[in-house]
Amino acid sequence: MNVDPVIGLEIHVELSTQSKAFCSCAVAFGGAPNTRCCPVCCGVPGTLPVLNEKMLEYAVLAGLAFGCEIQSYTRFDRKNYCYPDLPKGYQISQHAHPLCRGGEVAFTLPDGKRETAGICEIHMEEDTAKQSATGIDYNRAGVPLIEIVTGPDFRSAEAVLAFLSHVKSVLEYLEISDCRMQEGSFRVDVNLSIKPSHRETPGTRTEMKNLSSFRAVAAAIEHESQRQIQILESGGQVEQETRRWDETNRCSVPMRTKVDAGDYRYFPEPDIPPIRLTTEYIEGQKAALPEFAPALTARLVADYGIAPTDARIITANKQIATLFESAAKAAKSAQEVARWVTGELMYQLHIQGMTPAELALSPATLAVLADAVTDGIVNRTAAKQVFGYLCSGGTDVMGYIGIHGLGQMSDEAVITAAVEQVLTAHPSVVTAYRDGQTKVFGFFVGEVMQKLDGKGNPAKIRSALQERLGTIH
Amino acid sequence: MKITQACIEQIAERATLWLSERQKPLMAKRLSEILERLAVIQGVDTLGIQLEHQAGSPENIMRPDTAVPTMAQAPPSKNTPAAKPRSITLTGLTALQIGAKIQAGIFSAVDVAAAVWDGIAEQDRDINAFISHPARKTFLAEAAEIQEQINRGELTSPLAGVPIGIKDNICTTGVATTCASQAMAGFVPPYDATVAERLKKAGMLAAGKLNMDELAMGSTSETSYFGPVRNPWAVDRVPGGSSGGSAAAVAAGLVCCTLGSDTGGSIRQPASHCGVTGFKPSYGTVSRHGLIAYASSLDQIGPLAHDAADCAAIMDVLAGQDAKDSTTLELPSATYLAHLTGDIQGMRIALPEEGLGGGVNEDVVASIRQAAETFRTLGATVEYIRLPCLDYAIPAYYILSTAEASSNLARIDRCRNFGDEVVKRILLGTFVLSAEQHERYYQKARRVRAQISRQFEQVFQAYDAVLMPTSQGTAPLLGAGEDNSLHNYLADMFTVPANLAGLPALTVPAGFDRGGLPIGAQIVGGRLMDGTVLNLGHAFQSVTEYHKKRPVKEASVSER
Repeated sequence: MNVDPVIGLEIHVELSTQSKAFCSCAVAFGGAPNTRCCPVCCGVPGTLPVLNEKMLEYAVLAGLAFGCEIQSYTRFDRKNYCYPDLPKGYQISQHAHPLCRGGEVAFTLPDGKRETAGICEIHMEEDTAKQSATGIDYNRAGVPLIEIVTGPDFRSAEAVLAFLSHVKSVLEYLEISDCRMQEGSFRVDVNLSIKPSHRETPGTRTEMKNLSSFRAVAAAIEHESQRQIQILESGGQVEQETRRWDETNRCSVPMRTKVDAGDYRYFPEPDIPPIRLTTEYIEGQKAALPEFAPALTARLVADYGIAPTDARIITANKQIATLFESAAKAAKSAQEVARWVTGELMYQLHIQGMTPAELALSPATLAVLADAVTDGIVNRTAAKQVFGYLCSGGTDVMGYIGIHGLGQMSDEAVITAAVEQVLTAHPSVVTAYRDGQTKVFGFFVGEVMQKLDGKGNPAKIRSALQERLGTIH
Repeated sequence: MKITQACIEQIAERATLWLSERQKPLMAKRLSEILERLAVIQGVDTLGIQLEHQAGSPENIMRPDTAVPTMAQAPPSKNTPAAKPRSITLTGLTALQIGAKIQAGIFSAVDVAAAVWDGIAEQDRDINAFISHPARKTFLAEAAEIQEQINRGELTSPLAGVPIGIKDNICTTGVATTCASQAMAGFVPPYDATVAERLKKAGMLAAGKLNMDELAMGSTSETSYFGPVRNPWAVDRVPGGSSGGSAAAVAAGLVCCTLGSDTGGSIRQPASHCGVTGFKPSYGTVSRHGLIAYASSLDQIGPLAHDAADCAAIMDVLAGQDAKDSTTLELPSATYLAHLTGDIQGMRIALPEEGLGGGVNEDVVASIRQAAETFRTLGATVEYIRLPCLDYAIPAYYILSTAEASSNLARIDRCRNFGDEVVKRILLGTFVLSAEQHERYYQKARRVRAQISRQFEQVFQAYDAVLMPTSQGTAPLLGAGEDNSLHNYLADMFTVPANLAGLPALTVPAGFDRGGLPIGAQIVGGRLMDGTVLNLGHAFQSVTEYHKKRPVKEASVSER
């Protein structure tokens, strides 16, 4: 069967405000259960919700960043349903008057192709409590969320992942969410149906929940497409239902059919007056939008002459991009800074399991190190040792180089002597070189460097070697 | 519209409400009956009506994004041992008079507390106005604490040391708050309602929690899980409701003032039936934080007392914006007491003809006409008007209040503990909000509500107040509505418009029927004109004596 999956997304993003949506309890991940809850978020009778102004601000920023139209009149509605994780018996959400409508997001596929996806709406709501085997944890109840609803605009898992990376990057650049999928602060539901290519309209869709990584999103899309195709090919009907992705067994299982989900009996939340946003407020927020990754990448390439591939690595994270740019401004060579950021910095983050936010390295220190390399004070091999010291909180680059004797050896007499020793020790290799096997030149460089305890100036070693080898016949 | 039993089962399932076999056919019958009455709103012209979110459309005052540590514990009270109280009598005294005597040192707060406590212990058996009240020792110790603060000059509020009863749907820390419902059994709030906090700050003493209709749903106070409240004027009659305990406690002289809540007349109607003064403030004036919600867009807490001056003094304690309730408003700083000049010269009062005929008891009509005369002699002008919304305010109220209630009560455990009236309202609310009926009932009722607000706005362009009955009649006999669920359907017709439009409304005693039962006149004012309304009541009471009359205690009630 010639078929296309038709995919739409609902993305729930926990906002990184200090306090919850409608009460003053702290927002955080982890910790002992039921330590960040109060009568309001536990739904104790008589309590009332009071909107956190930051939640609104963050939601407006998200709307603007995704090109939505921010509504001048918006309000909360009650979504009534009975579930143990819902302490009040309803969720405060937005239904009739969501904050943001109609946006469009352009994103780039790995092959460089540009695509766009429509945003139907972005609305605000509160998170539910968390149900576990041991009971209910209200720490998450009332955490502010935005829900981003896209159009059915994706045709492949690849496009979905590219879009999600873009959305995540934008939210991180806005600094309104930490977007940690494994901690549930960035949750993706996939709506998927199959459109046989001879038909105008897609078939019945299913909704897939509990996707806790990009890998799971991709696997779930593949799996669900195949499942639906098989049903259709065998002449069956896809049932409209919500399915839960089981990551361990890598398959989806039915959660509930849409019919029982039924009727939410929405009505305007009477405890929270509607919100009227002025043009000045919206324009003010618009002016406060940061430069996002794609624009920043282009600018870094143009302003600092670094390679586009390096620029993309640098702008994948806002903190790293800021670190790079500040260091590049202070340093003599931006390329040298880029080399450190894309290489050793990424390596250190990886092996130490740190996030960029946890990094102690200051731009000024990084610039000093880069300049030390540029000026030939220290060679790159030795500089890596300095870098490790900086990542564990050190700040005195030159002091460290001095104390540990890492300064680069540039004394020509010493280098020439070392070259002499190496060539004498390896006559057969010298013969090979003279017979035209120029590849062994690198071997000589390494040997000389070893003799100089790794501190030799590589350029000087090279020229000394070339000069000496040139005279041996 | 006919509702079948199968349909009831479906609605109950949506509402996650358990129904007994007895309730299923009963609810099918009751819902069918009520839906027939609600049909009238379909004929109301709401073309071009702009929906408003709620009365007065307050600005959304938000919260700054600061996290505070969770679950702060209240410090334990000091429990000052009380001096031995002197025996005093409080009969005939208003809250302001008792407060003044305490400030003057004529009474001590402990003397007053002891007199009130002993009075409740002795006399409430016949009235059943209180669901709970504090232990005598605790109560007197609290009074002693307040007296010390008065002695040190730290408490100068005119009501410091005055005991006040609190309706049992208002949360008080560590004190069971039942809403007179079995479903709320065991609920001990971990926090004080804002009004309870403000009463404490003013040095008022919580004398106990008052009986009411279950979850404030009703107009007779008979649906209480703790048994019906009786009317002190005739113990075989109901006190009205839902704040029946609040009105009866004042009428019986158990306390001189109480707090009630008013969603569709729940302060004013029992005040009328019990011959006391009751005030429902403009929506947004008094914080609802800590009030167990019935219908959030209509609920408002207010005072009941012997006169308008006491109500104004209590309003000075209660009113004002509250960071915990975003529907509260920033109010002008002038006190309500300062409005009580007694001068109403030149005020324009509207008298709706609908309040003087139809199903209204002729003694009530006579009292309202007489009240109009009284206002004329005080220098006001009184003119007849038509207020057509009185014919369809009730259906709009029923739809909106039950819709909100069906959602508000979802947080209360829905096992088999609700009484029939509550079950009926949850079912009706679930029904009118259902996707199939939403437009026909809920949305239409919202439009009708907006239309009623507009009608009142027009009236208040030409008038300062509307004068009309509080209730069509006087207090009915206990059990009169047992066989007919719609017996009380129109009981609230004069009171619900003020809730729908968010207006201030005061009930003052204005006469007695031929059987000697009290009659209340209702004064409704323009939005946030609460001071004007209280001043009209105060002026009326400066030339009338109805509010000073007390029920004669029957032989069964021991005289102190």
